[in-house]
Amino acid sequence: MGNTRAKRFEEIALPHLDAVHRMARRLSGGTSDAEDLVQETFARAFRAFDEFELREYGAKPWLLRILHNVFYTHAAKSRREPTLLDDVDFDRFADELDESAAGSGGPRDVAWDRFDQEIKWAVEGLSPEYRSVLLLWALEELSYKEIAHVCGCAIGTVMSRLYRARQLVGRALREYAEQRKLSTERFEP
Amino acid sequence: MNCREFQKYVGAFADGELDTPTNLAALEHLNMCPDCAGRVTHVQGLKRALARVFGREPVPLVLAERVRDRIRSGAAEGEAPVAATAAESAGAMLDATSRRTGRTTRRRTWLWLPLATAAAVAAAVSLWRNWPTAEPLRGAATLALGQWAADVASVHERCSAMGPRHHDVTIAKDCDAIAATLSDRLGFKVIAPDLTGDGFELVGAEACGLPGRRGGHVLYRQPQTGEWLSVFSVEPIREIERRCASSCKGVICAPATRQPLHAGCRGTLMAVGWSMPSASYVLCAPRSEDELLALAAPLRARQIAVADRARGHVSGPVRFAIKTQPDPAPR
Repeated sequence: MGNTRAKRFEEIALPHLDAVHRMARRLSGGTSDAEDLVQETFARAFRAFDEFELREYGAKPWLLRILHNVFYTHAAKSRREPTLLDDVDFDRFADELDESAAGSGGPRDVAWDRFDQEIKWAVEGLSPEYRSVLLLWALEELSYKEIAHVCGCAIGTVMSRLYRARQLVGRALREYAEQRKLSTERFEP
Repeated sequence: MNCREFQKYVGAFADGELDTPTNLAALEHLNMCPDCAGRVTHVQGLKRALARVFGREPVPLVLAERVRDRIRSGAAEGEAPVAATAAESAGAMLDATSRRTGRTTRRRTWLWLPLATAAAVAAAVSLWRNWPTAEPLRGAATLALGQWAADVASVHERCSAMGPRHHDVTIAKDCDAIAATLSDRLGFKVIAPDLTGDGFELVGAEACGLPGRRGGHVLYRQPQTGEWLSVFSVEPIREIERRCASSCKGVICAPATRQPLHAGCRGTLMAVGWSMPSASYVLCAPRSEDELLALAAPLRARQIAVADRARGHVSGPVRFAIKTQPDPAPR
């Protein structure tokens, strides 16, 4: 019975080990912490396996949601204080859009492959909330609904976080480009 | 739709997440505005760049094995699904509904707490009686005396009593050559670390392994105190694999014996073990748990880094946390 359950769990969950590991590395910022997070995630998922509804979202968002909670539980324990993020509702965040950016010539044709290391630094400099939404969007290609499920927030919050995260990465890349005396007008959306 | 409105939806448009009327309005705007078309290209380019930069990280082989082991050991131990735990792990901790479920979990935990405490006390008393002269154990990583640790202690005792005669003349005299020769002979990676920085001199090496297991044994001695230290590389020991899989440190520590074995061995003989896919590794010496863990950690970290590199996994520089404590005073 136990072996059958474990086998079925392995079939459904283990194909997503790479996705969970990738996110764990990006969230924790360290290899050994990431490994602990991954192990804890799969152990919790296995315990909760009988409650899992494959039809609702699929195994990957389910595992990533568990990882998300494991990470924040550990982070809250170590910090002993809640995370404060200046979230803005999607209906209001457009009010904060940069007028000048909206009116100016937009960015085009950035040679992204010249900035791999800078992109890494920029993403690692984001707060975990922005980082996780950005990577769930880009790496795991989850829909906004799935990202909202993973992060436990509203779709509007996902959209505003994504916008902010892209903006922050753009600003960081702009700074790197300025340091390297490259053209800086193309990084921010 | 104007540029300002489009900017609000640029990400959702690029991801195909807009509803039909907004999508049509956005398309209409894009036909007239090359700047906003550039913004869409920019978002798509950033997405591809992120996927390229962060999407090339294969899972370390060791981790995949550990996760599998943990699932299997959970299944073997009958890790029962618990409704409240499921709700908790499904992530409901952050909303009000699951906070209610969380309280149910805590209430159930409290009901089981007296029974769990009684069982723990009984186990501790049993261990104490079976091991009458045991000193108090330190640290969460210390586990009860296992068969593997007893085997390690017996070989360590036998070989250190032989001293320099333990050296196999067919094996080279420096650490790297010993590791290479024994690895070739045994068919798995044998380690023979250079521990001169930690005050241990190489004495000899032997392909003597452990009872029932093939393996290499490298023996070291500290000239000042006369303490012996053994490094074993042996065929996988299931108990070490299982315990390491459920240990957050990835390393387990166990007292091998507390009795001084001979003049060179004083105090409690401790053993530290960890596993890689093809072999298990054990350090054994009359040292404290912390000291042995400090010796084992860089060896294991180096092995993991090498294994990852072999699989094309590029990781950052490995930081070795070597504890620089003075040697304990002789008792």
